[in-house]
Amino acid sequence: MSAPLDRGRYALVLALDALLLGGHLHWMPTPYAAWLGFLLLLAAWLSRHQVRASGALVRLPLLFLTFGLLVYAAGSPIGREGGSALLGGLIFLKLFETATARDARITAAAALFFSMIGFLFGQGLLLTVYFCMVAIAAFVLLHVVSVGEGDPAAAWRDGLRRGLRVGARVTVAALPLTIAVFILFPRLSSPLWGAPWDATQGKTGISDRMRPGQLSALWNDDSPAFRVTFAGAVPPPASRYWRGPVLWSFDGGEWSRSDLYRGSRVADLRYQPDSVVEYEVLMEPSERNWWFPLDFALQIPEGARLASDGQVTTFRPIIGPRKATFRSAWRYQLDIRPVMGQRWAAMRLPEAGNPRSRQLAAEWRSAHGGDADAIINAALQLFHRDFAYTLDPPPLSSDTVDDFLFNTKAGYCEYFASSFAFLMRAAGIPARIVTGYQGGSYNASGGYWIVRNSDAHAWTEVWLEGRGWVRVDPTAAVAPERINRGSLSAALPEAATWYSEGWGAEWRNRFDLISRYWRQAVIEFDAVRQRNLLQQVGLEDLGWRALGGALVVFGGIGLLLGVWLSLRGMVPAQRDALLVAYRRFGDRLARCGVARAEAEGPIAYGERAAQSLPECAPAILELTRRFAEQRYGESANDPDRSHRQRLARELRAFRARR
Amino acid sequence: MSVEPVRVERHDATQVALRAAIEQVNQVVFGKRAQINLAFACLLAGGHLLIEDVPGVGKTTLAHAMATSLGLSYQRIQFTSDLLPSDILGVSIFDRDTGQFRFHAGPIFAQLVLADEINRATPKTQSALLEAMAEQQVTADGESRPLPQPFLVVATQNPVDLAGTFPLPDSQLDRFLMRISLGYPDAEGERQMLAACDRRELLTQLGPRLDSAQLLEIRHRVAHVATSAALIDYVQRLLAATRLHAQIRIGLSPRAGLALLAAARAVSFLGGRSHVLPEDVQAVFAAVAAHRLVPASEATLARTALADEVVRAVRVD
Repeated sequence: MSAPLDRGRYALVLALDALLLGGHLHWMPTPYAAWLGFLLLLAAWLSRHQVRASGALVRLPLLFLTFGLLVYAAGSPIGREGGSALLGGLIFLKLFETATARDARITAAAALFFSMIGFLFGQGLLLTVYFCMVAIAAFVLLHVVSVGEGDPAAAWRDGLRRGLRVGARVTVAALPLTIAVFILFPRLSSPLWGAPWDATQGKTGISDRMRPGQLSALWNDDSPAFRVTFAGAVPPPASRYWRGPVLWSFDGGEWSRSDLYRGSRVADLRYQPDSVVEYEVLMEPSERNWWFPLDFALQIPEGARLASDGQVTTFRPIIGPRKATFRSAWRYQLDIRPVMGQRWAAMRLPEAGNPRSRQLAAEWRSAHGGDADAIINAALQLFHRDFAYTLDPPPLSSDTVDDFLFNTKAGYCEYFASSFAFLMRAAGIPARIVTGYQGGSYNASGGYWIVRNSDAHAWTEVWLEGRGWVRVDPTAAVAPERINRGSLSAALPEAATWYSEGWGAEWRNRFDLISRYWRQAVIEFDAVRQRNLLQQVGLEDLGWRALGGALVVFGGIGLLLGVWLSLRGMVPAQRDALLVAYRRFGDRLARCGVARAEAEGPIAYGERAAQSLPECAPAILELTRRFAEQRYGESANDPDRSHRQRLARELRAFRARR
Repeated sequence: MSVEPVRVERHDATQVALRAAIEQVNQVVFGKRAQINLAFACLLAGGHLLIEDVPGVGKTTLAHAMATSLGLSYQRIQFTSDLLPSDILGVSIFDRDTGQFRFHAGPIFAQLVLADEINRATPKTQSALLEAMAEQQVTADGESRPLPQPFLVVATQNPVDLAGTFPLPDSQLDRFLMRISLGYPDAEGERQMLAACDRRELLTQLGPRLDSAQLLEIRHRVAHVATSAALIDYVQRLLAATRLHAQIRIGLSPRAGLALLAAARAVSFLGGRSHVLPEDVQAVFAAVAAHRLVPASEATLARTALADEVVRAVRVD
């Protein structure tokens, strides 16, 4: 039977679980995470009011509720998310049957395992540091529970401080083994965490469909979409358009890609040689299969495909961070000779809908005749004169273009691009929508550019006789700062946050630099880089057998180093053989019904035991008297241990007769 | 927890005489064996004793009987609100025959001084006594006069009679090695007392059982009772527990730890042992520690109960 857990140590278990929950909040379905938080509070409340909720009557309903909520929130208890959520729920339910030191140890072990589960959902630097702290907290719990077992409640605070030291030390001691295994463990060609992504999960990032109002989820998402390092000169902000999916079809509400016009060859591209730049892109996992090259891509990485409309796609979705080198020209002319069918596709409109917009386009057309430039200007003038740029536009009715152009007159890039393209098509000018990113911010400490999800953008291209596809960004007519300075906060002061400028931005850049190193050094360490590294130290072309051998050898060295690190300078546990023998003597007597109180002196205990067990009273009195003498008398300091050893033997040999 | 005397080697004359002295006090003060043991331990450890109790339970008798049995010169000072420091320490008076000032020693110049109802005197007078206790000498008219050795003070305090008293401050309480209370005797002891003849008469029949040389020898031997590392560990755990206890604002000081060890040595000597057991520490802990603890304002327990709780909570091994 393990020692019961006092409230102080139970509070430590609660704290560990709270820490654990904090590391999983980012992926857990909100209602489920809230339920786990509630379980935590409930357990804390029960502990505070010293209510024991160990009965099945309490635990069974909680179990069913947890499971029900799991199925409701995560869909199923199977799969990456569901399975992890189930495990988390069980760990939190364990709180209601945590009564002994052994239960606390199980919780600590489960917390370590559940921390590892956390890496299925993210391997960023912050998360790694966080889970390291959770691991230290688990070690603290293990230490406090094990070392001070049975101490009065007040003493665990003392153990907490020592536990922190031990926890940090154990974590540091684990590093050599970790590094050895990290470098030598055979890598799979695909990422180790290549668990199937749940299709149900809502995705951020640019999609290949566009409906006004859809991008708004991205404005608040300041996480990097990709990072770019330019080899030479950097194009001006107004030309930094990162080209994503090109949308051709409009069904009245939504723009989408059309597979019909994705020929894999660019028919006709002319560019100015002095505008060619070479750059390296470090892409964050987007779970989509396209890159965002600088407009317009000349050279793309191996395995990617350049469609005739300039979109660069990959065969498989980008689920891990990926790095690639591109070459682009930012002054170019595309398709002066039209590609077969493209003009027709770029003029298609639904049969009906948005009558006022069609009428307006028809008016322009009759007023300006075939002068496309004049029509474009009319539209841009309209936007410039009457429209407002806002991230929080009013909702639109089913005739989105009409409603936007004639009623609400406020919106952001998607709204302008969508209605502009519609007007152009209605006026007989071929037009298409390009989505992607615009701008980016420079990280001076790292010398690279960051393009964040909040830099998402949509613009239009129109095809003009003799000039090909020409980029027209209607947003620039309304909010030129958005384009010229390449950042959202420049266009909208209310979108600026403390980290947009000044020291906040500086620190943010520094952190981004560190996490980029983390990505490159740790997360992207794949089979190829492993082979390269091993070649550098002279281990060429190791088969998996040799790699396994090296792993065992270096892992063993790392393990020994870790053991040495964790034991170094530690005072060996006081193992007084006499005291151990006396405790066993006490256990024997306890089995006869005379347990020693913790605070009972040996003579007092011996006398009490002798009274209860008169048959062996002489032996008990004699042994306790000699124990007291050896432990507390002058002979306790006697370097000659033979007396103590003999007494210890006799104490161990003692058997109570009843 | 009381520790009964284990055995006394017959040839140890000093131990025999000490036992006889304690026995003699027990013949006068009935039914208070444990407290008398503690009182002797306190004096043998060279500490001063504070007895806190209601009137009429035998405080004065105890002090007088101990003084007589130990063969010490004895003085009793009744503290009142108009008592002046010079009434205790003594005063220099001009002698017309010699034409010089002559110091008339006060009642404090005795080996065992009973300071009765010490909290009824003004703080000024109290501190005169307490200074003498701490320094073992009296300074008057710029001249230091050593007090007779051994010099021991037994002070009594009346907890009930609060009107017109000046309670000793916490810092002054520290000068007393132990604080005990006698309490009412049990039924048997009370009957014995009522049946016996007048206590004053009993006291006159007492004779010294020890002489000064023996007493000094005992104190020397008490100071050399062994304390093992395991015992020091235990005392340290006790001290730490008082400092960590939620209901105690100020725990025991290292000096209190020394006092605890000294008292435990004396109890152990009285028990006929040459080393201190945890039981000895436990026997004196409440008497030594309780008046030194400062309970937190929200403490629900009295000081003695707090001390007992600490002893019960700290493990012995």
